[in-house]
Amino acid sequence: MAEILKVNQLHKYFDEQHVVRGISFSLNKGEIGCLLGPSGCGKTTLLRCIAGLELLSSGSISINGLEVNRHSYVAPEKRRIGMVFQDNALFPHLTVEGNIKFGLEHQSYENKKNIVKNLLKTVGLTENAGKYPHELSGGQQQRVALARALAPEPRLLLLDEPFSNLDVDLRESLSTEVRSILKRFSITALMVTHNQIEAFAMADQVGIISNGQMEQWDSSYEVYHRPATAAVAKFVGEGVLIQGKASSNGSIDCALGSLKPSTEVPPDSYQNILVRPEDIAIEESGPLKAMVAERHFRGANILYTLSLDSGEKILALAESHKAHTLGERIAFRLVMNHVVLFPMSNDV
Amino acid sequence: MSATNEVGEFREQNSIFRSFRTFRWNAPGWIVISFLLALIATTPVLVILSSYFFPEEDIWQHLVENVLQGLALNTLKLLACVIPLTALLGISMGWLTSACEYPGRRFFSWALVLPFAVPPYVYAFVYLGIFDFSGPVQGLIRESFPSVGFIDIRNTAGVSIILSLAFYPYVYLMSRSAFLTQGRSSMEAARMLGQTPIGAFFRVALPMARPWIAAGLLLVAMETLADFGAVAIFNYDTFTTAIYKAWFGMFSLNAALQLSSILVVFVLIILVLEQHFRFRMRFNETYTAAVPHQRLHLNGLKKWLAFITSLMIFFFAFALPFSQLIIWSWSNLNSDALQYLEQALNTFVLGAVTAAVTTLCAIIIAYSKQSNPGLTMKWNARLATLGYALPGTVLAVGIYIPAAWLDNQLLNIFTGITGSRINPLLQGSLIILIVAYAIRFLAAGFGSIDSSMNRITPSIVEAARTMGTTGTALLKRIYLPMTKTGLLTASIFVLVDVMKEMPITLMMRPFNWDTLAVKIFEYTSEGEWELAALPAVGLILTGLLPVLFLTKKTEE
Repeated sequence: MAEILKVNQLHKYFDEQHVVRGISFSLNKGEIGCLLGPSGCGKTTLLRCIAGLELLSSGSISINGLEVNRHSYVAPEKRRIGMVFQDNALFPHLTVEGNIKFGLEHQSYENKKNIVKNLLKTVGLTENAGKYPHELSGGQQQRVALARALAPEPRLLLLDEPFSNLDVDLRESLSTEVRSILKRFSITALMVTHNQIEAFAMADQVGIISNGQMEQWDSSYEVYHRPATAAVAKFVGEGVLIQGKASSNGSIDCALGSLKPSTEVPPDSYQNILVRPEDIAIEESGPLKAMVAERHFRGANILYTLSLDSGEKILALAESHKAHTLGERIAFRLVMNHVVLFPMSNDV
Repeated sequence: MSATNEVGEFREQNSIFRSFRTFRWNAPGWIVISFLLALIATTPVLVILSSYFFPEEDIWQHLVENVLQGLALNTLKLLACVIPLTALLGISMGWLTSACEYPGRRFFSWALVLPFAVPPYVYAFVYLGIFDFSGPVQGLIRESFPSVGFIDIRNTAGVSIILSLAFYPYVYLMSRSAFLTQGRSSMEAARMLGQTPIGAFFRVALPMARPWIAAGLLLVAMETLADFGAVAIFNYDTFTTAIYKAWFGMFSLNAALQLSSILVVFVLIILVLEQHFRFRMRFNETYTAAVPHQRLHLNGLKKWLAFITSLMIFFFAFALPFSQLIIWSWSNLNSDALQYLEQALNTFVLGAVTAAVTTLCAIIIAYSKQSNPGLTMKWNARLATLGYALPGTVLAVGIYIPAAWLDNQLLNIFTGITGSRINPLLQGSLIILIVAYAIRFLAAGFGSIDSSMNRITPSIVEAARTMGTTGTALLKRIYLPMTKTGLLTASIFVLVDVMKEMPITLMMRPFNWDTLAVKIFEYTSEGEWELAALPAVGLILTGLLPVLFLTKKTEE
């Protein structure tokens, strides 16, 4: 498959601040990538470097195998990259149609008309062609922004927190819709978000960025189930790390008993074990006991924080109609499919 | 756009009805005073417009046959030159200082506002002095290019350049704030869609700023129509000078009235257009808090071209005239500088008293608007601040007539009771002069007070109420502290505007109450540029005060 985007050892400084610290990854044609990380982690800066809106400090960016940054800086307007902005940046003085047509200067009149018509149909806004941005709802505005970015048939589409100004329901439905549009036209896209649900709904490949570094670049499944670092494990999904110690027979002893890791662990080493809520099954006949420390009602289920005898806390989900009271000691069972371990830095 | 307007209008109409229905007259005392103020402020316009119903045939005849065509042509020529010129200066400088980076940008971004401190008539006489027969420029031309001869700048081009130097800051400030609030993402979006920086400017930044620029240009048009001092010094006949001549030269109040009624129609058209564009601005605002511009770094030749252009404008709009004034004042300082003291005091007293009165009126109007949401009080405020659009000469005529009528009524009553005669009470009094100033400059004060009151949201007042603060305590603990800066700004704006004012003062001042502006007018009509310099420097220095406020605001 053709490699559309390749980012290699990218660094970006703002004055003294080292915002992007040596990030590398690549996207193939038709793939949707997603950079996920807390705000201020450098992901938007990375995206803007790819767009050409920021100059990078070192490293390289190639689009379609051609380097666009280091030795021969290519201006943003010459990169043939589409971008959907966080605040959608629609032109308030142009209609929906005018906005979509904006990037089609060199097309014939007929072509323009056809492209606009098709895109309006794709994003479901045929009726609104003549309206101005301020007459549209937030979701509609974002659809126009998408259509506008897609109109010049960019080689790569960048999306900067495209759904962050929308309410939660709309965010989820629109992200699924956008994915299906991108897939239908096999558009290569890179999105930046701090919302995991959005990232998982959209992406083929997810990159977890923390402190300007890429912690992991993998499929959504791998990122969730096999986090590469403790930072990824903490950031993605719910879960806690508890302490364990490897014994000589290769198993790990911790407050939840003896666990069998899939990989070899040096004996006597101390390990952090990732425990996710779905690893815990609350059952009256369960062999393990813990005290209910906190309770969060979530409608269909309740998220409990359980306090183990070791003092460590874990999370567990249970159906909401079988409520346990605070301070109650309850029984549970461990249902861990695979054990995720992170060696602790100092083996004390 | 028509669909949008219809929606907007429909909404407005709808809420007019709603606001009438649900109007809960909060603080009725304030409201009555507020209505009364609006009535007083609109009286001059009404008086002048009413002259259409009582035309004096022979005066009309005379006007139409002899002067009207020339006046209208002169005025239109002036507008046709000043508007494009201020647009060119204002927009280019607005763009350079807001979106680009080049040597001196920080300095120019505030220095280019300085012409606001210089009254147009000061530009007029300084440049006349510089281009005087005995001045440096003509001397140089005589020596170097004898064939060129004397260059007369007393023509349309000359006046237009003078007025453009004085008025371009309106367009500059408006376009600059438009470019700054656009934020960077619209420009970036245009770049991502294939536009070069220049293409993005013409296709996105400029069209998005259109309502702001239009509003700025309409203010320029208003000021151009209203200008009296500069055109008078240049002997360039426009409606304002014609009204003045009719008033003083022909002693024909009716001719002045008829001329005013024509000018007022011009002004009202511009006013309506201006309001329209202010309304449109709302739609072109970006929805989210915009990320500040990433300035375009100009390099090479462009960088120095930007620098030199900015420097030239600053030089001709401020540095040159101001230094010329300083030189003139210096050479006349020893003679008898103290002679200006009395006028300076008069000027300041008038300014201070008017500032106090106007600020008080502005507070009442703003507060009654604030406490009674809905269109009724909004329109009331709009009508009350209408005076800013009225040329001073027109306002003088429009106030003199009702004042004289009131005087006559009072006189009749008085003689009816006592049988003896008294002098007119209002005509030629300080009171009526201050009323005229207040009407003219209420908008200047109202703007900053209203916007500072806007920051006191209903929930802030409600929060204070829930904590038991009401009535005067509310005024003392919430309103006053939160509007303090607004009040100060308003007073300073009005003070300085009054000090610079020329036509109203000339036409309505009490006998022997000369101000600095009047003195400047007298000296310049005798060609004594050098004697007019010192009072002009005084006016410019006080005029710098509100300019500092403005530049502070633009830097935020």
